[in-house]
Amino acid sequence: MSRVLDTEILIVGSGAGGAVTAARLAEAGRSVTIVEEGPWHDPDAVEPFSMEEMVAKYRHQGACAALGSPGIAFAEGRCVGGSTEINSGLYHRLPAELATEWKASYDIAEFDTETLDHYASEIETALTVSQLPGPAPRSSAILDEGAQGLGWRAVEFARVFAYDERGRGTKQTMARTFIPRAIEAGAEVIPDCTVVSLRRGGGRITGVKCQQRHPSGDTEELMIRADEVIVCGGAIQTPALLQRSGIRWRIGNGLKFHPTVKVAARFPYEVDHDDVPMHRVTEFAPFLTIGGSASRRGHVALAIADAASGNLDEALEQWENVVVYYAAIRSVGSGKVLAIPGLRSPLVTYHLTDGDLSCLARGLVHLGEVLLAAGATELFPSIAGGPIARSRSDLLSWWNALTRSSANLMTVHLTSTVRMGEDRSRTGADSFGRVWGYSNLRVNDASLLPDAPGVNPQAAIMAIAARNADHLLGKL
Amino acid sequence: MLWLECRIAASIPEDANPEDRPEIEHFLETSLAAMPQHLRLGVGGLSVLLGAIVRMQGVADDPHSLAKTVAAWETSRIGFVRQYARLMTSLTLFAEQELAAVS
Repeated sequence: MSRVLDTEILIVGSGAGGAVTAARLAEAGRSVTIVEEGPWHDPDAVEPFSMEEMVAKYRHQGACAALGSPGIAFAEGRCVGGSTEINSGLYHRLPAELATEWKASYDIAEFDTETLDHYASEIETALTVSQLPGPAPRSSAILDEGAQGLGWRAVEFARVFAYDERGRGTKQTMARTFIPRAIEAGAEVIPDCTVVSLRRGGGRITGVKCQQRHPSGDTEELMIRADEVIVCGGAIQTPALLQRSGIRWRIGNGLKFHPTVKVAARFPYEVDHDDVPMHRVTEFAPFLTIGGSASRRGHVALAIADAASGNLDEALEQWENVVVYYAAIRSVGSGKVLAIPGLRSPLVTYHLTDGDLSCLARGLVHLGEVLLAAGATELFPSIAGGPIARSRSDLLSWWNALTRSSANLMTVHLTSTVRMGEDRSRTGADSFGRVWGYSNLRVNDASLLPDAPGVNPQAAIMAIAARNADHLLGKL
Repeated sequence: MLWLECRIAASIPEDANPEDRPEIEHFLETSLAAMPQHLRLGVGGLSVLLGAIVRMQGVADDPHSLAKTVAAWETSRIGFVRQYARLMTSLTLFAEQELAAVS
């Protein structure tokens, strides 16, 4: 026998979409319950990007991949706060030209730059979105210097960080900001609670079947009845839940992300490793962006290992001089999320086109050019077997070396599996996230974005989530 | 973990600090257990198949020979073998280096 809970609004997931939605609805006086599959961790309990963080906060401990040629590793957060707890905190408003393009292509109502900027501005105030109070760390300035040397554009991206009087930054994740705001306004958060399926009837969701794990190790069946159900599990888990519940119209198709290739760069001096570089080379944006990655010792080793597997020990000497950078593309290819009966996790596939692979090779070469221009002495691409580059002429070999069998790719920005818009032939939800065919079921996360935006999508996710929450409030 | 996975956890990286080895093994074990079931099934199948091959080759009991064999798999023409080797070496290498950084 399941325990039964009643609430006015149930939000599934507590990441960038779910937390913003919850705070907005709760502060408007609505009764809100948030269920989160992952645990609730103190944001300071583990070091960012550490092995402990992977174990505590990453879904599948980070060991997950989209199947395809090549397979592409991806990471998602699985804790209160979702992926905002594990990302680098970079913040970039949705480019105006993309908003215009998406509005026209998918017939999205009330989706103009002015509206989105209004919500973005509110989010930025709440999250203290800002640039560094002082000079950028060496690892970040390297990108700026390399771009300047080539006459290319580079900018320091803003981040969701708050700085104290000594300039020390604290990432303003959802667990530090919108979740506490929602709780302050009366919302209830249930962590360690997996939503198994949505019960349907008469064009409505009549109940949400959950399994809650207690600290004792016991699992309890829970049935939550809500007037409105808003699914915010991210671009993989949201379509998987809908499919498991028998809701499949335009759900799970068209997965988009930013395929990313990396280079470990050695410099003739020690470089900082405590933070992710905040500069980005935007000369080729939004189709190609060059930036920096987490570069703890483990990340450096992984990035070097592809190209230097034969002499890894030698390559890892003076690892403190090595930093990991990346080139990410807006991909033409797309993927699918497919919930398979009997399996807890969905199958994720991605088709990388030949054009995508060519763009990645171009990005890799441009990344190498920037790093050499900044003074790097040795570059290790994430290509099995190398080749290691020490001069611009060496970079030419990267064009042909990056193949489907040699490339080691990853991504973090997953979007577009329940696209929004009024064109029912191409979308899974209306312009405000209401799932077609269900009067009280909405999606409000990265799934709604019609395409990968070419920049960190969390700003777009949060602005759209706030907009959609206000639209729902107008209907209640 | 399956037999070959245990052997890999005990052998790679070759020069890992012996005191860190139990934690490397634990990280590999929990990472494999946390994988999506369909991926774990595929990895498990390859562990059985490749485990049989290394037993026939007689390289399983010598950590150095096993490490060399796994390194060779990383450039195999067979995609699944290549991905298997990269997964195993990535997980063990990441754990070893992170633990080395702490100590």
